[in-house]
Amino acid sequence: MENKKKNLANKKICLIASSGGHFEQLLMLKILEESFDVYYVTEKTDYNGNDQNTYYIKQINRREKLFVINIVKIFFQSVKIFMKEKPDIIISTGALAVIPTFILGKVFKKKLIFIESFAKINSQTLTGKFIYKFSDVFFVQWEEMKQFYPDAIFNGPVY
Amino acid sequence: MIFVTLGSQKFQFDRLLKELDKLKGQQIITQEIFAQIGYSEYEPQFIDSERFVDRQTFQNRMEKAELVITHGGTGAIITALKKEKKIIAVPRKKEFGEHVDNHQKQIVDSFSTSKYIIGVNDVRELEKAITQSNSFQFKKFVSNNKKFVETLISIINDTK
Repeated sequence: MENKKKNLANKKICLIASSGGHFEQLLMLKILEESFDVYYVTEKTDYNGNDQNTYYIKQINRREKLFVINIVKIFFQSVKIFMKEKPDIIISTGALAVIPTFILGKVFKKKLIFIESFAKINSQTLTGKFIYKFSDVFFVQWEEMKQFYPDAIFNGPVY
Repeated sequence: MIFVTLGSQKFQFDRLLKELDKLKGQQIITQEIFAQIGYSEYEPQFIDSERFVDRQTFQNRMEKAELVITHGGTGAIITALKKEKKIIAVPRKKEFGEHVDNHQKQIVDSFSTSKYIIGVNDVRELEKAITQSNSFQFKKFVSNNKKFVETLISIINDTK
């Protein structure tokens, strides 16, 4: 119990992911709330669930027309949340919408932990490929993925 | 009951829905079917369906089903595996405008090779797969979540 309190006082964790399958995977880490001060960031959708301690950013995909405008919007939303919460550690299961927060985390020298999507077995996600270059800890959920990310940790799936 | 989920992606999955509707209409499938059809465009004639049901209803209906037929989304497959359901999964394909790429095929192939599910690539083989599911020895899924979170906590505690 004392240990738990110590953790709560010391570390703030940002759990961030896009909507859908990425967020489903992120929710598998919900138990971290028992030991740490945790907040969530995800994309706003019509079917949002998890409302407590959750921030919403604009939903984005790389094939839409307003992509550039939307990524700028997300960047400003991310700055606002980041400055308010000042996380020590950022953990993500992807994808695109988390890139601004990871860049901010890098600039402010926070610990960056990325978990490549369970949905990919024989190819990388674009986000994973980009974030691999500068994250501190990189997990893959399938052993086959070590061929793309040789320095990654394989520790089985989050499920 | 057969529980069907076609996922929440903003793409139709009419190919699977039409085949199910046909099999039900011809009474090849005699069981009751409920389908969450998401953004599919085809309107089934013989199947009970809704676009989306809330999380709790989704869980309850899946719980009651003897067989789950799903698109190749990891969330749906894992949820059904945890409930120890018999599962048939059909991957969405890029060429039919069902997804942005073919990653669902990787997932379905991987799970079916390991005998966790029955994978169906061509919907014409769905009828055979449903028959096969009655006697198929599905492998039980063992959660890795505890191990994963323990590793993560030790990394967090090592920070600074």
